[in-house]
Amino acid sequence: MIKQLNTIPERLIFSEKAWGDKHPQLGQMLVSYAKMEMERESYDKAHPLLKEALDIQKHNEQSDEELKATQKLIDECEDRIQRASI
Amino acid sequence: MSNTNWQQIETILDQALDLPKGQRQKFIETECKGKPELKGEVTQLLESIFDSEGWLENLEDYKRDMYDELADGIKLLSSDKSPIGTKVGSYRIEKKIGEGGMGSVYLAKHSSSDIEHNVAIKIIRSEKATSENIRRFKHEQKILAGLHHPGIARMYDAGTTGDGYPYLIMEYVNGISITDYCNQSDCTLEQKLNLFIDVLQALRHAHENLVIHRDLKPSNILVDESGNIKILDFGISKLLVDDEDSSLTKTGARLLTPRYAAPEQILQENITTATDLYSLGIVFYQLISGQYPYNFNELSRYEIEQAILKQETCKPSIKVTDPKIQKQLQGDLDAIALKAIRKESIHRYRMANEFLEDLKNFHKGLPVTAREDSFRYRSQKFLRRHKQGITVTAGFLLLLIGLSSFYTWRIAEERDQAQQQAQRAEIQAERAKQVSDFMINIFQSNNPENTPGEDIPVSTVIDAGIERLNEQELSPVNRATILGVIAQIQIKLSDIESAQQLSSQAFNLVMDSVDNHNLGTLDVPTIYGQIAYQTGDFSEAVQAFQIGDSLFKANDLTNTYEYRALKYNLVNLYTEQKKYEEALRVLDILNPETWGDDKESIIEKSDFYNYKAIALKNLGKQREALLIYKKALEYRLEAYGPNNPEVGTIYNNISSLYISLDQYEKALAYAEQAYIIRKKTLGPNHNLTATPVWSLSVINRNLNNYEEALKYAEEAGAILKETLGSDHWRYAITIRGQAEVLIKMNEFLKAKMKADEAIEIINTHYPSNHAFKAHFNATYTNIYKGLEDLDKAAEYYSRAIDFFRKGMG
Repeated sequence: MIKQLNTIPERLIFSEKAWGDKHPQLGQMLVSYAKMEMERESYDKAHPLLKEALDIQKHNEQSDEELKATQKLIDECEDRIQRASI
Repeated sequence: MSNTNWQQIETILDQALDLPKGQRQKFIETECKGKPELKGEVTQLLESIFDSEGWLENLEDYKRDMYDELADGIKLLSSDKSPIGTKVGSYRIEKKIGEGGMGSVYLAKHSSSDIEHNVAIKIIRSEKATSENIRRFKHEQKILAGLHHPGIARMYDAGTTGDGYPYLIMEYVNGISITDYCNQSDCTLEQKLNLFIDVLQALRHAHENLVIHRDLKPSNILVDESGNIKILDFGISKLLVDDEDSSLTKTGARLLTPRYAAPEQILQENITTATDLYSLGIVFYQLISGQYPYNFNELSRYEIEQAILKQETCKPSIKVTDPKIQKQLQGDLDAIALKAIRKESIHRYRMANEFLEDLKNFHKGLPVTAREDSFRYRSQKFLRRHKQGITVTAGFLLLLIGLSSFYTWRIAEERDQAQQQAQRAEIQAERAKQVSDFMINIFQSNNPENTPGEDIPVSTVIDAGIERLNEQELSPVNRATILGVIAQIQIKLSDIESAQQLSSQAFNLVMDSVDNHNLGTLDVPTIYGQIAYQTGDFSEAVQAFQIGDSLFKANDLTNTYEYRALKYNLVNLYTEQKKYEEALRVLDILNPETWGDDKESIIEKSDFYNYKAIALKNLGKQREALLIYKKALEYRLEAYGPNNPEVGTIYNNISSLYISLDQYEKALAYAEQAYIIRKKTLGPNHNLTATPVWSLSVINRNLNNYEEALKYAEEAGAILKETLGSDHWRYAITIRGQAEVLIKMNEFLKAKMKADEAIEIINTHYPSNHAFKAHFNATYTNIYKGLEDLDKAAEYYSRAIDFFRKGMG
């Protein structure tokens, strides 16, 4: 009789995740970076970062609260860009 | 790990990291083809690179480390002084528990008072333990270590002490000899027979794995408090057999316990399975009669040997004074005992199976082979079984057909009915027996090259077996099973190439027919798949497992351990390939809640839930994974109790899961439990103890307990620096961890110093574009934000994000 294999490295649970290029940590980092750029009033730099972050959050079915917060930042950026262009 | 190995690992790892994520696994498989250990090391390091917030190590690593450490301690012992009180690894040698011609046995207890784990350390101090014997023994130790049977005490490790004596680390069995147990517990004859059947089953397992004990005696067959038997010291006497012939060989036999030695051992003839069965026969005789078969009192060793060779012994029933027991022994049991200790091995039981069958038949009231196969004897058996029914019909039938033909007919009819009812099971059992018998029979091979008394290497036995297999006319199904069994032994001997060849032949034979398979043949696709998996041929392995799956279903054998073993292998493979959905689909077919409540089933359930939790976690289903992990924990606690490494691993993993869910309060409780167990089992300064310490730092950092977080990061760092060295990446990560805590404490300059210290370690050992630096980008981002250098911060943000998109994502 074959003894079952017991070789699954448990550390695999911390390995490269199965999220592909939609890693939640990437979403978080994009939001942080965007916030820093917003503080520096670089709204045009922050805007694409936030859009990408929102995509990732939606893909990962993150909470409505998180999605709303990111959307709010996007709105703010768009508003500032809009006003700057007038 | 040797330097060469490390350089090899580093080269492959660096090249893999330069490739896009999707191509890495395939690259590693190609580079490490046929080198499973190298592949494991590279994969392990690759996984670890992306893991800086929690470290997990699997249980196998943990156990290996524990016994390695213990072995390192034993190697330092010398014969000059008593080892009692010496600390070896996490164990302390407590006392001597045995002393004999071959050396001493010590009990070593785990140094923590809360952990109840003991091992027996046998140090063999004998001139017969020559370097050649030790070399041969070490080779075969791989097989001994692979003997997994509840009735066989495990061997964990073996080696030589500082002054060159062999030592063995074995499972400690707290029990008494089988004969003392039966006397003290006042066992009935039935209880004695049941215990003896357990012994025979364990011995059969060893013989099937080509291991002969050579020194069976009551003191090597213990019974523990729960009434379970354990055979000790398998194969150890081999260490004490001389390589040379001439007069020296005599001493080889003299070292054996003469009271239980078979005539062929005294005559220095070939040792076979029948030799072990002779020794067990003497034990059996003693058990049932309470007396040793010969009267050796006041005899010299020479006279004892002569008695074993020449003296005939009486039936065990004659030695008994109690008339009730005497009656029970008369007939079958007398015959069984005498057959077991026949002087000519050819007339003895040659296989444990035959001995077992006779005892089982005795239980059922069926004829035993030990008795003369006479018509009279068989008729008596029949009459006893059918006492009531026969009295009415007998007279009538006697007139018609005569006693002889009647009995013959009824016996045949009875057998036919039984066969009809369980024809398939019987055919399969018979096949399994044939296979087992063949394996054991290759011991009996009269290889002309074997001189009397010569020790035959396992590889020679296997070669002889294959040769004999080719000469025999066997059904394809049986041939396949035998090839599969031999392939498994070759895997144990690390002869993967031969194992691959044989298992491939076996697999082709199995695929020739869909039905008429038994569990032996159905193991073949699993064995073949395992070998393909080990050599990196994943697609071949998947195909083998899938074919195996279909065959199990076609033969209606899915509710078996073997079927689940096939499934676990498939899960393991999918997990390695990161095909978690497929892994989960395979697991969902199994229903662990129907597997029973014995310890083995409980362990199996805990493994099942562990696999499932890993798959779920990797699919991003952390919450579901958490529930499943808790089930695994529940079963592990039930199987092992709270203070056990198996349980510690699960605590650690649950803690890490809570970390990833940002539930730090809960993570804290589990990490603390893991830390307690690790500290107790491995000691506070072991590199594996650093794992939960590091988790405690991460948790406390996220709970804003910065002082605590810093303390734990420093503690983990100190352990790792001491155990793995100051240039190890794990040590570097704890330094980065300290930087992270200092950032939270708004100590940005101090944080930068720590981050610089850590990155220097990484820079020295890894290429400039190495993935290790990913997390450092994020750390520097926060440092420069704190230092209000936003341009620098933006630069590091871009690098970190770029890394996530290209490397980790």
